[in-house]
Amino acid sequence: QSNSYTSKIVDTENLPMIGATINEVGTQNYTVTDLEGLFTIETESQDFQLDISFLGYETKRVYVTNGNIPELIEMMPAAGQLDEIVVTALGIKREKQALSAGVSKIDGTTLRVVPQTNLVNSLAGNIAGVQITNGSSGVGSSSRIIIRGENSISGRNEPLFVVDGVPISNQLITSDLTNDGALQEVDFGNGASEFSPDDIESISILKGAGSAALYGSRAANGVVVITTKRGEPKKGLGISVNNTITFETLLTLPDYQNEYGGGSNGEYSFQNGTGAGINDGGLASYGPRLDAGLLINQFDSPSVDLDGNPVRAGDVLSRKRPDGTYTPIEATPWVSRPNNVRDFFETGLTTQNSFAISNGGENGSIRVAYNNLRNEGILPNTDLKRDGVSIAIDQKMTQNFRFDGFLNYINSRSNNRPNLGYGYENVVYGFNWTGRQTDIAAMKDYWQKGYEGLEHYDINYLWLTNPYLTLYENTNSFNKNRVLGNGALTYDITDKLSFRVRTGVDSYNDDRAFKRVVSTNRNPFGSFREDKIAYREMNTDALLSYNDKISDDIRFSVAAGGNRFDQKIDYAYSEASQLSIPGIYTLANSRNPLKGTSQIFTKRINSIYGIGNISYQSSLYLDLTVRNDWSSTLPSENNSFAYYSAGMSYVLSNMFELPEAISFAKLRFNASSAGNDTDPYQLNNTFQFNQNYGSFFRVTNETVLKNANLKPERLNALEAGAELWFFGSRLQAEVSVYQNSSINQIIGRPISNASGFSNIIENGGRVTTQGLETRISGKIIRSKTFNWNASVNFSTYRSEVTELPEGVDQFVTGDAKFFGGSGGSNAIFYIAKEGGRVGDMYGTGFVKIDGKILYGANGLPVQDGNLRLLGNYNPDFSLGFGNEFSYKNLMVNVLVDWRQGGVLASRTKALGSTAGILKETLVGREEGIIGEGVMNIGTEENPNYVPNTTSVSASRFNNNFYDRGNEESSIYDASYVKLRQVGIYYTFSDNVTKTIGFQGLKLGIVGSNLLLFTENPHVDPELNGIQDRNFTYGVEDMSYPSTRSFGISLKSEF
Amino acid sequence: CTKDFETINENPNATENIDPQFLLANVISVLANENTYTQGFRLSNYLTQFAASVEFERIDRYEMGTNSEYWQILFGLLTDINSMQSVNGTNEAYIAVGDIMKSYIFSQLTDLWGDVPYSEALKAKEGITQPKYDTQESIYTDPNTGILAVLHQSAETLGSTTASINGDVMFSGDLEKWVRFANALQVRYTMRISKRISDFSNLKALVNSGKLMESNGDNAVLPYLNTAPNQFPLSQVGLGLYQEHRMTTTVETILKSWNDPRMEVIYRPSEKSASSGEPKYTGLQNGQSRETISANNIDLAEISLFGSIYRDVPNGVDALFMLYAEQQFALAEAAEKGFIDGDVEQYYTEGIKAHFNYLGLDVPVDYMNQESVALAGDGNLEKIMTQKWFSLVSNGHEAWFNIRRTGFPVLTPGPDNLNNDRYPLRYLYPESEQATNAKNYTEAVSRIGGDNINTSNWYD
Repeated sequence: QSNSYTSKIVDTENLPMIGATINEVGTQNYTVTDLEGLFTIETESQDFQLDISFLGYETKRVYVTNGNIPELIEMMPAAGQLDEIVVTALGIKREKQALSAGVSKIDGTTLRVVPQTNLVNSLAGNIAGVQITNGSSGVGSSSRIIIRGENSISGRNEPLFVVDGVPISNQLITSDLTNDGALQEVDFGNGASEFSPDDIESISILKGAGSAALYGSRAANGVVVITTKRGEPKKGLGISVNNTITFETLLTLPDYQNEYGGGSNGEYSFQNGTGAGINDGGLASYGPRLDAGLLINQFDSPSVDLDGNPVRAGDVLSRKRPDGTYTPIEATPWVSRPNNVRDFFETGLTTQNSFAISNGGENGSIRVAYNNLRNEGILPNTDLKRDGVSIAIDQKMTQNFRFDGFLNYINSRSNNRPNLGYGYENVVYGFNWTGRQTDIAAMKDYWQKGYEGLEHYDINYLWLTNPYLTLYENTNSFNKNRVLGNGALTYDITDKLSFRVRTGVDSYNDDRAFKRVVSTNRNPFGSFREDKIAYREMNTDALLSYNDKISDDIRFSVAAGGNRFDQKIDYAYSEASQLSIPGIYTLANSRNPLKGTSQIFTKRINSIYGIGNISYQSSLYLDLTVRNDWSSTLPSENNSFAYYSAGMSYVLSNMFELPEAISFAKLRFNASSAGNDTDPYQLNNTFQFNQNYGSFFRVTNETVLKNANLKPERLNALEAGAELWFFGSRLQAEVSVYQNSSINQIIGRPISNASGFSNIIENGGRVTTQGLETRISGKIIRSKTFNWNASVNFSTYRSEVTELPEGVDQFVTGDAKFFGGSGGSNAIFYIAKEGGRVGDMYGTGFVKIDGKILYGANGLPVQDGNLRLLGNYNPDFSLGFGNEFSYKNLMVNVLVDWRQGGVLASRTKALGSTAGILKETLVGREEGIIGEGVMNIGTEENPNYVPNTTSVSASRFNNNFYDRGNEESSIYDASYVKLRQVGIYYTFSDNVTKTIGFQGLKLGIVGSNLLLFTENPHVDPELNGIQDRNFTYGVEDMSYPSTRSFGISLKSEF
Repeated sequence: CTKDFETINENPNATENIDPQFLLANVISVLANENTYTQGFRLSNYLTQFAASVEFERIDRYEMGTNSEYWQILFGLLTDINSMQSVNGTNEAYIAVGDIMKSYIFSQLTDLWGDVPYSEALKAKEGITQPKYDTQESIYTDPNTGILAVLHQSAETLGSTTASINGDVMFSGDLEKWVRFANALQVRYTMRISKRISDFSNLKALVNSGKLMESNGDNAVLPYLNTAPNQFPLSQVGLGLYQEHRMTTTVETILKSWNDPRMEVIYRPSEKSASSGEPKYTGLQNGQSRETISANNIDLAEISLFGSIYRDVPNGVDALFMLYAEQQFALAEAAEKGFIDGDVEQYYTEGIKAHFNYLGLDVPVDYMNQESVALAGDGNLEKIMTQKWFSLVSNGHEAWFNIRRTGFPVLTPGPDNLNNDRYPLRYLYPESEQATNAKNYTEAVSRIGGDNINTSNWYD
């Protein structure tokens, strides 16, 4: 039997609302209000809930018990969302409208739409002014985050990560492998990547120095403030379980040619892989035509050993007769294998599971969570495993005394992380030199017959190393145990005065092991190395705060406090650079004296700070902050430095009658000045230990000249912003403009080696960054069943060097290796000239006559050693476009990311062209290449330039044109458009979930990095390389293919 | 609250003070290895046609590059010498030995690149981060600060000092050997600039002083060792890099014309001939691209590689600065040109004998009487310089400097050279100088006549 219930919907002015939608929760029972605002709904139940929705107003849920429905239901404008609370510096919560500096907030739910394996990546494309770049070694790679461009030219531009008001480490501590010479870089991930998004309630990004001034020096590049999830007051246990499984496949791969195999001059024949055959010790892919019916001896062609047993041709040791000749090889078809590299990669598999249980009541709450990640990478035998346990507690101990705490234990580990960079330890480098006919899968059995564990099996024994051997035997493992947590005690002395002490710790031990098997090119005797890193950071602060009002219109708060920061990093390694017995990986098995070092870095900062806020009529807010730091890293006479900020927020819509369409309007201004210190031990030079010569102990000077007169850096920031909301909250627009001036930067400036040092630590230069960010979001379609929300964020910035250090006419801010050979290295130099942009890259290139490349009499392009501007690695702008569609229980989320401008120097392009593996190297294979440009038919003194007519073989031409020391030939536009993420979720209706005993159940299909549009057909321009323990900018360094991932996500609540 | 800050920021990982001996050991051993392996074996052996490349080494085709790592290492070692000469515990012997090594390093710099920073170099601590370049002439000949003057003064000091040194991995603290080395270097550098000077009185005085090198026992060399990191690097590298260095047709032609057994020590028979039981030494023409080698159907298994002392044992060779043999050849040239009195033939014969002995060989009977070897008036200089050339295999770029200066032996650029058939005369300045020292770089470039590999040296 059904009853009917009637009520009236009104707005805050008591006027009827026409056309509001009423839905009985959990049913398909809908109705709308009439011209008087009245509705009638029929239902069988006496206890039910109604959801009332109206455009521009907060959806309201009405609970009806025993059939008692209220006569009037009042709706609040959605502008009521203005009460949105944002966590700002020191964990202080503020109304968003009171903020004077740029802050973006992102909810945990948004972060989790498409679960990412690296927390930093989930911020990509979502927030104006935040730029994310990924590492290239798949799941577990480091991601770099830059907020509002680069203020510092020293490369230290990463924001500070803060959990519940206490900083944590996002430091990238790579092993110092390149100085070793025998090993290549390995990316073990950035610190913040390990934090589980499932433990996050929300993230606030404090963008400007203004909002960050209270966090001290590390916050000058912005702050990522993470607020952890807490137990929620509810009846019974709240249990939530999230499960995601995703698959990773290749998004990019070099565009290979498939018409010519390995060799030179159209010739190839395998004999022993060291030159005894025809070009079988060579590396180029300018060999015989593929798929032309040829039969050619290859490394995997059948042969016999000396006893006549079948072996592969590449089992050369068993084929070699005492007289130095080899047993015969049975030639096999010389055919293309277009997917040989693609098929080498496996489908990556990642599962992420989290389980959380929470409860809360009047006096406190608790939340306990466990999450794990299991990844098998796209490269064979690479993986990442992570387990995290967290516990969050809030407890009221007396009426005035409470404790909040968060503790997180994370274990991350891997049996093998792939090597990066230039050299055969990176399998992609090997593929570059592997003829296109090669059946790479035939290399899986990677030992030579009869020499298992001693000699590997390969296509070329001069230069290459079997990629399966590399990945299965030459492993880089790590095991990292991390504890981070914080606890705070708050005592409300009166209802206006309260005192809080809080301490936080981030501590981890990371043990790494590097194994190298015998017979590889770089380590013929094998090697073994262990790295141990112990990191500890501790922050303790105390804050006394007082809130009061002078009248109802004027309220104020003041707070004062202090902080101590301690950081200690222990780094040690020991290495057996050659093994005595193959296959035994222990330091005791060393043929040579062990190599190694142990180093300790410590640092302390003491701080005091004060805050004052005053507000008038909830419309005009004034904020003042001041902080002073004393850092152990600076000379005693300069180790004290202050920070100031002043800000104003003015909510016009609360003060004036604005046109009806405008529901909210706010202007804000902020000015701030922040200081910064440096790393430990930058003041005095010391001697470094060099390994012994025999029994003679050796020391040498550092290459960096330290400076005992360093001053703190200073960053001055100005920011103005406006926010306008239209039609309730239906359309929201925000715009910020800012200018950051960085003065007295502490950098290790490259100087002439002839001065005795290669870098000098000094204060110098002024970099000014100006930028603009906007965000427009709207609820484009709202209806009973279909909704579409969209948002666009746009940001652009430009950093210029506006003042050079004294006596310096151009400012070299760094360099990136591009090619190192026995005749000297080629680097890309980042040079800031006065008025030049930060990120300008200089390198060598071609001699040009009126813009046309000059060719010599030999038909090859003429290069000179002069540095010239190649481009700038910074984008002109970036734009993110997010969409959320919902139709009944279905929700679709789509995020597109567009980066425009900037250039990338690609080593994949340079090497691939030299080797002849890329598709574009097919041009001119038969007829030769006439380079486009001019030649000189006059004399050197009286030149006469005419169009070049000299034809050269493609192999010689490409070898010279794409000379690896000629950076100009391998520059790409780094612009791209990416379909960053798609999530499609179906929420099961309450009827369904209740039947199976759930409180909520969502099933989703998720995908990341699904599509990429860019000029470079070979690599993803977004990936960044790591060289010498740092990220490299604007240089792609034999990066692994980037991946797309897709899978299924299930979110359930009990 | 900042009381303990200075303690916190005191670097516990390294020291600010050190005994000079540890710096001396570093300078000598690092420099000797650079000179012999990185510079001599990997680079100069191509330019001087002791080695030919089959795949990668661009220098064999005269794509010279900048050799920038060496530039950086040399200035770094100069900084170490400065420290050695100023730390607590230094003395006039360390200072004089340091000055000898400094002179050696600055000669390397100017011989490889031309005008280089000298008088303003190494003064970053005094605020000069962009040092001006000095002329090659002044670097060698300045009467007070030039290399020759400094070497002369250092030898004088060491001849009279009572101070002693430790950490001397080369001469074990025998200062008399340092004096002989300093004097031999004066011979080397006097001949280097001999076209531009007319006063050879110092050279004559040196010859008469009895303080030149007198035997292989005075050689300025130190051994590679059996264990890392002091092994001869070629014994540890991948096979490809080893096989990049082939015996050349130049060596084959010259050494076979001398019937010279030294070829069999420096090189090894080709793989094919060795396994067939009839060992043969065959060279490869320099400066061929891989396409040309392939087009000429050259079977690389029939080409000789460097010998067992370079590859099969980690300590088969020495790290070199200067051999007694080189000094004797230099004196032979000086006598031949009349710069000094003395018997050309005696110096020449002594040089050949010293190098044979250094390699553990005796000079074969009748070796000296062969027409290709015996001095006969005409062509003496070519014979002296060609014998000297071979005694300088892997010894830094010394053989190249002699070829640039005298034209002997006459070398033909390879067919695929990228320098229009011209023989290169210098390296390009490191790119980092353009970036960090632009004004002085530009000034030097215009003074020497362009930053390219064909710009000639003042003394050539």
